[in-house]
Amino acid sequence: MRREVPDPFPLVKQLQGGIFWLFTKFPNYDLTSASSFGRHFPDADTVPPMTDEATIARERIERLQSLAREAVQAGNEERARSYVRRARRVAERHRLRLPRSFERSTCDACDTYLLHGHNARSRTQSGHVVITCDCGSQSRYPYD
Amino acid sequence: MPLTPETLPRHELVGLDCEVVSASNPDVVGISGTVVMETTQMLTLEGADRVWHVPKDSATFAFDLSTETVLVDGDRLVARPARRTENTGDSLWR
Repeated sequence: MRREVPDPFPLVKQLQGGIFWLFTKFPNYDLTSASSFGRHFPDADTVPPMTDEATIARERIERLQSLAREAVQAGNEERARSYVRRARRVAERHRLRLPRSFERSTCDACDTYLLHGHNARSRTQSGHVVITCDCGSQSRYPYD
Repeated sequence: MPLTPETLPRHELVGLDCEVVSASNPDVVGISGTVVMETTQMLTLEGADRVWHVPKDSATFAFDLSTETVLVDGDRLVARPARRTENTGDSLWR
């Protein structure tokens, strides 16, 4: 007696059919560099070469950090705050981690750039350093 | 990728020396100073004795890099400062 065996993987067949349909639809699609659909078509030579935006963003953060330091040294703390906020925003937009020196020399509460002896106090405790900003907020980091 | 004429419109403008070469408002032409602040529509230039707010739109700026002077049409700079660096629509996450 012969019985109809049900297909154990109907979904796989459907998916294969879908991929085949994509190939017929977009024969020039470059699979090797495909990270997202709708881009990387080899005949799209009108698009200008992509600049590495993460590199530019990192350089911007570095520049803003040194500008903030100079602004605090010149007594322009409000301007330093805006530079620090701008650098944080750039890092946020580009999903970059802020450099450790940036994290440790800026105030989490008021965003000012911390210069030891100028607008911040540093005290060493057992195992960690405590930085107190002029605004009153404290931050700690361990001995390296 | 350091600050070059090609990357300048997407790079940090604060801290650069800049001069307004042409503008629809004749009063701002010739202003020169250091860029100290940037908003979507304005560049803030600090000269020897005062601070100017110059609309980016409808002005042409000459930025002094260490080796050369770069003329930038202000239209290209109209964007939120942190978004200017992004390749619009090319983000891997959207």
